[in-house]
Amino acid sequence: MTTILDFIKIARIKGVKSYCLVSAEGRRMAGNATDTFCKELAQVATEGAGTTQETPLAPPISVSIRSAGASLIIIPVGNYTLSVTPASNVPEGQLIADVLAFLHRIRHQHTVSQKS
Amino acid sequence: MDLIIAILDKFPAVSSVFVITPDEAVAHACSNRTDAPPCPAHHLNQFYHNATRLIPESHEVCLSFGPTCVTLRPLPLNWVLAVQHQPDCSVSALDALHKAAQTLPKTDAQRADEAFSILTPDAVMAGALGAWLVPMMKLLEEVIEAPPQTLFQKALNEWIDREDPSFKGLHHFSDLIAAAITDTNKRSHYAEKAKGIFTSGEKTNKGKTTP
Repeated sequence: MTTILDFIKIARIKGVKSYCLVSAEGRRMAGNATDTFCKELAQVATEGAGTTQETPLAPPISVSIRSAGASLIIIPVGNYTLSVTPASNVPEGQLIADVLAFLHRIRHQHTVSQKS
Repeated sequence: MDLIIAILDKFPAVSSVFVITPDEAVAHACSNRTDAPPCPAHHLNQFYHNATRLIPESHEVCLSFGPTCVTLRPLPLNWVLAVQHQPDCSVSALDALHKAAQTLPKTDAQRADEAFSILTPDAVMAGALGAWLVPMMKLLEEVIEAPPQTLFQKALNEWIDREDPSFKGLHHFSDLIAAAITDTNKRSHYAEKAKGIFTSGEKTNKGKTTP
């Protein structure tokens, strides 16, 4: 099973300025963020998944929120939600691909270790 | 919307555009195909406004579904523009659509006014169809050899009651005028001459000129 300790390694991905992992109820599981932010993040993640209910689309793989000088990437991870703040001038598409690859890797790593 | 359709033609990476009201109704929808598409997701207006609370002064939310994305941007009156596009869509396409959609949001009062606006004969005469209607009125005057206003106005009112006046319906209007002319010779003379007006107008209209 993937643990919180696995998520901490996400900070090592090039381009990740900060991150936060919250539960569906808005409880902070890893990373740094205020309680208010965590609750709002969980709410937005739930609403994001709800946008495709009763449509042919699967829930979004990621959600990017952008302002002139900053952005926030939200990625659903099972029953949790991961938010990543990219460092400035980091291509967003590449960072999302790197984070998704990381998440796939830590899941796969545990699947392999459970089998062996 | 014509401008948005022109932009869609220019940017093939954009597949469809939706303008969403605060109560989540899709006020406008168009695509680069001929049919108006259904909006691919729900509650996008509320989602945009809640998501942008997470970052101060944020102005864009992009939902990625893998091969397709939906980018949300704000419009006046808390309406939201939703653009469905491929992941490699250029920012200039989104900027152009965003700019073109700024005038689409309307207040409830404005929308009600539009829904219940009454089309008057004067408005029809003052519009684009006036270029065909004025020659038809002059022709009527020549044929009946009398002031044509009363007869013409009556036919115009009847035409408005029956259909939305358009270039394609001009021959219906001509029929109404002809039917009101009691003298059979004058009636057939008018019908023949009027046909010349809107038939020649049809040809020149394709070249975007008026008679």
